[in-house]
Formats: sequence, C-alpha cells, structure tokens
Amino acid sequence: MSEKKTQQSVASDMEKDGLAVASQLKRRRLLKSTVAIPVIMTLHSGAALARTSNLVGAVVDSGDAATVPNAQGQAQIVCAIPDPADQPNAPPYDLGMSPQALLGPADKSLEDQAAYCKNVKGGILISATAFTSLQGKGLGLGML
Amino acid sequence: MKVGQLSLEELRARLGSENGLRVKFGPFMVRIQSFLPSLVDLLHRLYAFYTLADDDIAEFHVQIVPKRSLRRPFTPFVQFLVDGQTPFPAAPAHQALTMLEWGINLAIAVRVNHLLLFHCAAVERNGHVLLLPAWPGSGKTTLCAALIHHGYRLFSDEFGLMDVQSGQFFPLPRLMPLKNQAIEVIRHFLPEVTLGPEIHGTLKGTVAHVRPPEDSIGREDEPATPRWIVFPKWMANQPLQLEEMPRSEAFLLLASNAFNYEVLGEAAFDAVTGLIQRCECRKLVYSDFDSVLTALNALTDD
Amino acid sequence: MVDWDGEFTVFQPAAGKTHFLNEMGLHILILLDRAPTTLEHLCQLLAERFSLLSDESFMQQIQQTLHRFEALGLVASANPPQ
Repeated sequence: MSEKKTQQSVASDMEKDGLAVASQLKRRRLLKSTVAIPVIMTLHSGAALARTSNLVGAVVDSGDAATVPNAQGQAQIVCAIPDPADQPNAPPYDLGMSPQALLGPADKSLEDQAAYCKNVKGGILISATAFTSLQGKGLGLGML
Repeated sequence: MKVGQLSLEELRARLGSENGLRVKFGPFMVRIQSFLPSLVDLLHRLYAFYTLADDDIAEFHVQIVPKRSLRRPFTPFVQFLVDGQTPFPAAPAHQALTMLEWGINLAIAVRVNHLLLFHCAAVERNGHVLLLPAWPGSGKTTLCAALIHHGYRLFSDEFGLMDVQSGQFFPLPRLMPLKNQAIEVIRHFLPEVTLGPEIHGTLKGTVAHVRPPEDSIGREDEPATPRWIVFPKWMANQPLQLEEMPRSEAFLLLASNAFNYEVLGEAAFDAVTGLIQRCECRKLVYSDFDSVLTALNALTDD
Repeated sequence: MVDWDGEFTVFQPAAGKTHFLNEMGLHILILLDRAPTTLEHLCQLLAERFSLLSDESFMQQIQQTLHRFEALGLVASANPPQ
C-alpha cells in the first residue's frame, strides 16, 4: 500500500464526511416532496466512518486498504467481516457488536488478498483510520 | 505558567524528556514528546499562550519521531504516534507541525465519548455559541479566523464539544489550519494575525496555522450555551443570503456530521433534538468577509 | 419521536438508529402499533387518512415500505413464512 494513498484515505475522511452529508441532503429533499407515499430515511453519520462506532465504509482499491505487517515485514490485508453478512443498506457496513477481521496471507499479492477477502470471505477492505479506531474497540483478528 | 514563558532551551528539554511537554488544550491534557529541533521554535511561538499542565494526567501521549523511508532514504521523515500507535504514515520532516496538529485532532475525534463531538466550527459572542457546521464548500476555518479577530471568541474551528446533559459547549481553541488560497486571503484581510510557516506538499496542499487570540485561549475553561446554528457556504461573487433552515434538515445535517452520534445512542438523539429546538437555524451563502460579518453580527446581537 | 412541522425523527433503541419519516411513514407505524392488520386494510386506512386512491400502485408502495420497515426491525410480520 502506498503511503500517499493511505494518507489520502485518512486525510479525505473530513471531505468524505461532507460528501456523505451532501448525498443525505439530496435524499432529504425526497422526504419533503413526497407526501403521497411513505418515506423513511435512516441517518448515517458520515463522520462515523472514521469513528469508533462499528460502522465502517469499505475501500475499493487494495492500495487504500489497511494492512498489518507480519514478522517478516510483509503486508497482510485487513479483511473486516460485516455482521450480519447481508446488509442491503450498506454502506456503511455494520461490523456488529464484536467486530472481527481476518489478515490475508502475506505470501500473496495485495490484490489477491483483497479478492479472496471480498469474493470468498464476503468481507470488506477498510481504511487505515477505520482499522485504528476499531482496534481501540477490541477488534478481533484472525487469519484468512 | 504558559508555554511562551519557557525559554527555548527549557522547551527543548521538556519536549525531549520522558515527562514531555504537557499542554492544556481546552478540556484535554496532551503530553508531547519530540527531539525535532524545528518543532521547538514553532511551538514556542504558536503555543505561547497555552497553559502548561505539569501536574495533570495527560489524556493523550503524542510523539513526533524520526522515521527512515526506504523509498526516499535521503529525505528526513517523521512519524506521529499517539499512545504508541501510528494512525497515519510518516511524512517529510518539514510537515511535523501539521502532523502534530492533525494527529491530536484525530485522537480527540476517535477517542472522546464523554462529549458529543460535532464536526463544526464554534465561536462565542454575547455569551452564546454560534455553530458553523462543516460541509462541502463551507470555508468554516477561514470564516472562523475572520470572526475571532472581529469580536468573537474561538471555541474551535473543528469540533463542537457538547455536554449532552447540560447542553453546553466547551471551548477547544487550537491552531487553525488555513489551506492554499485561504492563507493569502487571511493575510490580506487580517495583517495582524499570527501565522505559522507555510507548509507545502501536505495532502491538503499548502497549510499555514493561525494562532488563536490570547483571550480565546485564556478563556478556554468558560463553556457557553448554543443559540445559533449557521450552515455556511462560500460562493464567489454571490450576494449574501442568510435564510431560515427547516429544523428537520438542520437535525439531519448536524447529526450526520457528529463524530460519535451512533456511539452515544439515545443520549445523542435527545441532545441534538434539544439543540435544534433551542437554536435559530440558518443557511448562509457569502462571498466576502465584510458582508458576512455584518450579517452574523446582526444575528448574534443581543 | 419528535415532530418537526410534519416531518419526524424517531430513535430506535434496539438498533441504535435514527430515522426520518414523513407523515405517512409515521402513520403506518402508529397504525401497526395499535393493532396488527393486513396490507389491504392498512392501505385502506392510509388512503382515507390522506385522501388518496388505494390502487395497485399504492399497495405496492406500501408493501415495499413494510419490507423496509421489517428489515429495519421497526415492524414484524404477524404470520412469518414457515
């Protein structure tokens, strides 16, 4: 993972908060204008994407994903497991009351680790910031 | 005792000691450690008005340490650590101040749960707090810098710290990072302001920090009740507009922008509800400081 | 539940979520809170309350809303599929 990209994911959290708010504002106008149908909108705190709640946003590019170096300094991708598995309203993804993540095999490329995480384990890649805050909440780590 | 009352040598010694330089920022005590020579002069000047907190337990222990980059072995890099953890990667040493400031902000945003944290600027006038929530194009830090040099007391350019029980806001007057064009704008509008050096090549471009007025820092233990919430948006060459905002919309935008809304659950819901019910909520479009100051002064007059 | 001039914020303690509802959305929850009912009867009550026609399209809207409410844990089907 490039340092610049990781910094970008951390640094852009504040801007992403604003984007999340802006998109909610668009949906908000729908709420106002449709009297003839029932409308419900669930609040998603954009800033919580960088916070210690167990809601996280997924990163798409393996280069932006949080990694943990093993004893040999090889990068292992952090694969967070949504709980429940089926989350039609995501993002953000809920990692449940006891968030869990798996570390990818260090002998594989980050892209392969990312693909295995998403396609086989049904997990999501998370940013370094989200990983840091989840660690503070007792994130359980296992091996992919 | 204030940081500025230390000699440079004393400051350097404290930064390099195991006890660190212990500084009070609003309700938080931070222990700072670093051997980086360039930080000594900067902190002596920009932290001059902050109180030393030698006898208090620090909530956050932060360090700026040297870090070697394999990709750029001849460029001095530094790493920010908070309680031994590295929340973001190393950066060139000339960015140390931005990393320190940014890192302390991140630690507060991520760890504080005894207060409801809004992502907004907050200033006080006539005994009440004006909140300026962050959203795209708000220019809140630049606007905040202008306000605090025209009769408003700085609470924070980044965080609204709210006690959910009392509904009061607590000041956290820290250095205010201006970015890119905003630096020159503020230099021109406020030639008297104390600015840190321009720090180039950060992820947000060029950054320069405004030192808050001494009065704002000196009154960092004086909370106040909120009374106005104004959602600002800077738009070039647009006439000033200050109009009422529907309260449901204000609730959505404010709660969405709170760092720990979900963590605090129903307490946060009740707190934001009370806040919106108590405050006048406005949308603001502005393009120049003179007109926005006039409008906000009229709003916040007794 | 808080009324903001005809729009409503509701806190759902079980899920820790905050929802925004319009008047019709809230009214569905109020009606179902009083007593379980069928989709048809619910649509009829809503149509009367909001002076609307309870046609096929309206029933589909209400059904979709009920599914959403059920996914959020705000309502539960009284006769879940076996």
